[in-house]
Amino acid sequence: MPDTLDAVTSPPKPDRFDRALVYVVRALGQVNVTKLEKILYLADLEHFHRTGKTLTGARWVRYKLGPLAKRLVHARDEMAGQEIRVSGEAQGDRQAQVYRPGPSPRFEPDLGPEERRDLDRMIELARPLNSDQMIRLAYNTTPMRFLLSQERGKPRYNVSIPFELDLSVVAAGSAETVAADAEARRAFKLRELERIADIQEATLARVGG
Amino acid sequence: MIEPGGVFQIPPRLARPPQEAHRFNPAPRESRWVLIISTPDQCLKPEHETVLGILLSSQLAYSAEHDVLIYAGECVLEDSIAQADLLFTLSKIDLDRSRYRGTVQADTLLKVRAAVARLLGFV
Repeated sequence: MPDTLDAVTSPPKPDRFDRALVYVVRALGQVNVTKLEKILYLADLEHFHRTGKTLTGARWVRYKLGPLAKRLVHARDEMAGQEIRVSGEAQGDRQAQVYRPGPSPRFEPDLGPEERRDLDRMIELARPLNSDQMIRLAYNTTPMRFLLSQERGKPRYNVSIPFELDLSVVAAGSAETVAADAEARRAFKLRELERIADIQEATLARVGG
Repeated sequence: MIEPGGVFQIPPRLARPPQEAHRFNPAPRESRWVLIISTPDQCLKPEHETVLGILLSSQLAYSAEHDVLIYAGECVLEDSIAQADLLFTLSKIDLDRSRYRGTVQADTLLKVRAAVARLLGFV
């Protein structure tokens, strides 16, 4: 049974979530908690679609600002002051927790090439976006759209976000609502068909010499 | 970078039909953005000269049930719709690296493919 001092100073046993979190924080230099969560969620979803497994292993639940992993609280408490620095700061009209690389890391965020690939993609996607844009992206994913369709306007928080969905559910959940009236859409579609014909005719003319 | 989910910008000069040169006042053409949905094999193997693409549009006012929303920042400059009912064949010669604008998330590609599958009656 380790004493308290040992428990504080001994290096943690980082799991996939810890390593992914440190990797993202280092890549961005600083990131607020909302954006950090969404990057990890989108990377998990990307990895799941490509490999059948999530990257972090975290359980994601639906929350007011989109997907949330409670595992993040544990990771923050475990790594604050070591692998990461966390401070409360004003960002726009909100108070946000901002994560930065810590002063005395006890481990390196060693990840496999496939894990790095998916995290790098989401980091680059997120880099120019603010928190609200990241929330929007997260809400537009198939699992979140499915949950929203089940809620019928009455939000249910703390519900697990299902990553594995039948294709028919994905198709039903991704359909946009009809905006313009039928006549306007018909005219629009005809113009779009003409543009496709233009592209194909132009290609044929070039290929045919 | 021809791959599933790749987004390409087709410049106006490649969307100008040959007979237009004979027209008195041809309509102006804008560049168009397309999303590739073919399999990795179809995209990568040189013996396959074409891929399947979906026409994108930033005119959200005309969105309908076959359209999939793609937000600005995910390879597109403005919020856009992938029009799953406007699926067409593209020659790979039109998809060179300079026209590549990125690759959408696997989740976005899944949504577009699901919309096509629904149009074809598979789901």
